[in-house]
Amino acid sequence: MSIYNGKRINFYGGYSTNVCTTNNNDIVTLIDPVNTVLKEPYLSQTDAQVQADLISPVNMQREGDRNQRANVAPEASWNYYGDMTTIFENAKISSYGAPGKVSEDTTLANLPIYLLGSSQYSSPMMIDVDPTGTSGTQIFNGGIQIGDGDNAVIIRSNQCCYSYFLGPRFLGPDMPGGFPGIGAVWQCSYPKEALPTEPTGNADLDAFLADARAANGIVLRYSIFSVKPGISNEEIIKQLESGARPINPALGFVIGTLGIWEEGELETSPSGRLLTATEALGTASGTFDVVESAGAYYVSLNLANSLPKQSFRKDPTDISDIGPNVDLGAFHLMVNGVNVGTVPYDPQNYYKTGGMMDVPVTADVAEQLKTSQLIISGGYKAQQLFLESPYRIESDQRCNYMDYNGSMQATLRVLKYGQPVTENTSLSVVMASSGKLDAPLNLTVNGVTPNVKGNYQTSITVPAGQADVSCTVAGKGELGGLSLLIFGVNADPTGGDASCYLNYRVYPNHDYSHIIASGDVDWDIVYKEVLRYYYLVFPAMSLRIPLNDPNTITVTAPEFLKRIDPALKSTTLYMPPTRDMSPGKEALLSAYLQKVQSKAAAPAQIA
Amino acid sequence: MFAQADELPDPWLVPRDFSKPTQQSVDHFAWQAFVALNWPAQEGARGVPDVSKKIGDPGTTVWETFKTTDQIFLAGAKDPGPWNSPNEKSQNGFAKRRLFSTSKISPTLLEILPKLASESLRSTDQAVGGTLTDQNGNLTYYERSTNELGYNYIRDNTFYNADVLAKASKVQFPDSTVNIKAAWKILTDKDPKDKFYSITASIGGSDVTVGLVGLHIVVKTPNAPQWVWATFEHVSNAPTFSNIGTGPYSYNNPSCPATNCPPNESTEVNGKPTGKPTQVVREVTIYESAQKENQAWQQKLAGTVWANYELVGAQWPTIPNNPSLPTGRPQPTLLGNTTMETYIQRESSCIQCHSTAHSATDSDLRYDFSFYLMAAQKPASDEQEKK
Repeated sequence: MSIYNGKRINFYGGYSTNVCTTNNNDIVTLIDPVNTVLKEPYLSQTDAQVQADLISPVNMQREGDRNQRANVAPEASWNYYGDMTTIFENAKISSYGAPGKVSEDTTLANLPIYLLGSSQYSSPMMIDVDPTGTSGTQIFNGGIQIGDGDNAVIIRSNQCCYSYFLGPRFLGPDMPGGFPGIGAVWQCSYPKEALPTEPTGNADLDAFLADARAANGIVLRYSIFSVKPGISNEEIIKQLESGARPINPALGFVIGTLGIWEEGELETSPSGRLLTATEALGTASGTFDVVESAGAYYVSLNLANSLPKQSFRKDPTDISDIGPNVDLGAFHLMVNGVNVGTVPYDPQNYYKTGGMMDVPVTADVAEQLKTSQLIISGGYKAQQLFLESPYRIESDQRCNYMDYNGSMQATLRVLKYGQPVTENTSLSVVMASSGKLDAPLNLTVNGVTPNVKGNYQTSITVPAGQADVSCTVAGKGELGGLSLLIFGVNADPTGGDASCYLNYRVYPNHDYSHIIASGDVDWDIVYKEVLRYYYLVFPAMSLRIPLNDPNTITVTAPEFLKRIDPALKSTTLYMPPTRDMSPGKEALLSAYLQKVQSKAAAPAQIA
Repeated sequence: MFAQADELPDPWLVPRDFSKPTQQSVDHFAWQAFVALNWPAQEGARGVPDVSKKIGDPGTTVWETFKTTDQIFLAGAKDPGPWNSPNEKSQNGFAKRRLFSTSKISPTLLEILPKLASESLRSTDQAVGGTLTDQNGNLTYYERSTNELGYNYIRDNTFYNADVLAKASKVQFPDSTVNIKAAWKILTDKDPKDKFYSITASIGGSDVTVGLVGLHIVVKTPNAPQWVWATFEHVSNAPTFSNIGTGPYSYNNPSCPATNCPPNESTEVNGKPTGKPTQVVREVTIYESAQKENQAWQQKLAGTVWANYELVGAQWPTIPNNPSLPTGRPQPTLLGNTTMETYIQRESSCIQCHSTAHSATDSDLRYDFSFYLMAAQKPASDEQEKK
């Protein structure tokens, strides 16, 4: 499937994300991220007082004490002015080819690759469904660009990548604390309709695009790791105290692959069979598939996010050199207790092939793997390094937004050793917190409210021979909330390695209908109920349009109305980018904007 | 990649670029541009420094000879003529300045705003919070201008004509285009006139002496396609919150408590100036490298009025050429001039705000970070022409 059995374009380079702290940190104490309102004392303070507190170095100095921090302000200081823009920096194509024939000798070598925004004037953005958690991170983008200048090939399509396989990228004692030590895999796909049809002038790219057009399109998969803010806490404190207002993007590395998006393949879930790292390794999960290419068989491994790095870079601002992985020595593929192949692992240059490795196997081994488990062993400490999880549950509905009274289908793909199950298989469904807030029990699945983790009370059944199964997820109550639904093979109710979780932001019932109906929607109520939160919590928005200024909001009303249209939610143009504004608040804001737009001169637009 | 311009041999020339992608280098570049643009101009020649003079010598400065927006965007989209078109000569070979704008937007622009829907422009202008009144009760006056490269680009492409502009496929000013915004206050006997760069200007038909209080210098460079945005102020404009109570300042009364004089709030009533002074406080202090450059350059300029000016900051794109990032991830994050962004200092970002400059009819037609083109005029109809 996809990146495994077709032509691949591999790349690597730097990465940075300028996430706003308050959409990416512990903000539950003084801010209510579900209802998008401030809590006391911010609620009764002036804007200037709140801003001063949010960037107070005191909040950074408290960082070390998580217990104390529960009673203090959020740690906005480390990147209060972040604008969520997320980019590849100096990422370049390193190799190209079909399985077993991937080569650095390609007409694509060294061409830059970029993620794009939804317009020429916007940027890709990283947004959490739950700003207090890490399970539902998204990168909205409007396509990719290969090459620069007049020869650039631009593929425009609004897509969203979701994070998978979040886990350690370093070995135990060498692992940096927190996010710097962690990696994640991201994927989205661009449909064939978005691909250029004219020759690009690059032979290898044309061959790749021809295959993509004959299939569903292109898959973009990449691993991001060693991500750390460029400015230390100490330095940020110093700068804030001196009066500076710096941004502090987190910098790291990307290793990725463009592959062929095959018919029937999921768009955003990284395909392949699941390899779980053993305790001996302790890193994030990887994937593999068994492929046939030009009459030969391969086990194609994608362990870009799983094999440990040797060390963290000394200078956090230097993302020019990915650096080597740990040398694990030779390691081997084991099937039914037999060594069926040796992994061609090069820890110095592993990233040049997108972190993928093609191990030749016989047709017989390929056939065995349809019903057998793959184990990778040897090398490091002469132990098992990865065990295949027999089951894998996947879904394209990784991150979901729903009104309190809404409902939507969730479709899950369940495979065993890469094949549809051969007997009816029951999946457990449990609900869990997606971050620092308690799980709100705000959902039903097929009409039943799942219990919180550990004591499931509902399940769905995957019929034998069927890969996909669907269920109806609906909002419950009016309070909304942030939660996870975890689907696991029933034999393991806690989910286990094969489990799949889906994130839900359920918008609360914010009912302003009586105010809207009265026609008395004024600036004071709109600012208090809607805009003030974004002005203070996500200040990057106001660097373009000051959200605290009624005159500006009045003259930008026509375009503002366009930008809050839910139809733009799949783009990088939607406001607010955090996607946390409830339909009720949107209705209130919309009513105000419609009322004042007559004062604006004419239809207008903002960036 | 970067020009070696840290020590430009000719101080009357604006460097082509900053020498290194560091804040200090950009700040240094900003001061170099400040000196070059405030160099006395050659008599009768727009934009040409008089190299026989030195900075601080009497005479109109180079930037004051640039074409103002009101000279470029003429009613009926008339051709504004060649760069050195004849002009009224009354002051060092150049026309006496007429100052009439009390916001960063000229009256011409304000007049056409309803037609152009230039809301982004409004969002940046001082009128967002109203006019700015100094401690003498007088309004502050603004003007905007561009150098020969910018002017010729507009004229050569007929972008002063809104109909032509609307059909443009791209707007891209050439490197070394310089745009200026200036803020002036009326100098009275209460002001230390010798501390200001001053000129005689015509305001409401009367000649008055005005002193320069704020100067935006915006330069497009090869390494800053999002432009370098430098802003300077007179050192006695306003205090920071940490030194409130000191003074005197042009825009702050040290003895007026916040209850009576709330900081950075407009004193207009119902959108009309009241004559009550605006109590201005600098909300974002000048960062360290700008402070260092200020010390060095003020020493170099000692004995001239220019030593009484300071760089508030210079914003630049730290990642200028990544198509993922059209705004180039600017630094510093916030930059504002207390005389021009008085009321939005806590959210003022030159590049982010100016990235919204675009056609009113086509959001994909961006104006290369310049709001100037939003002043392009509709051509006069034949009938209007006859009248």
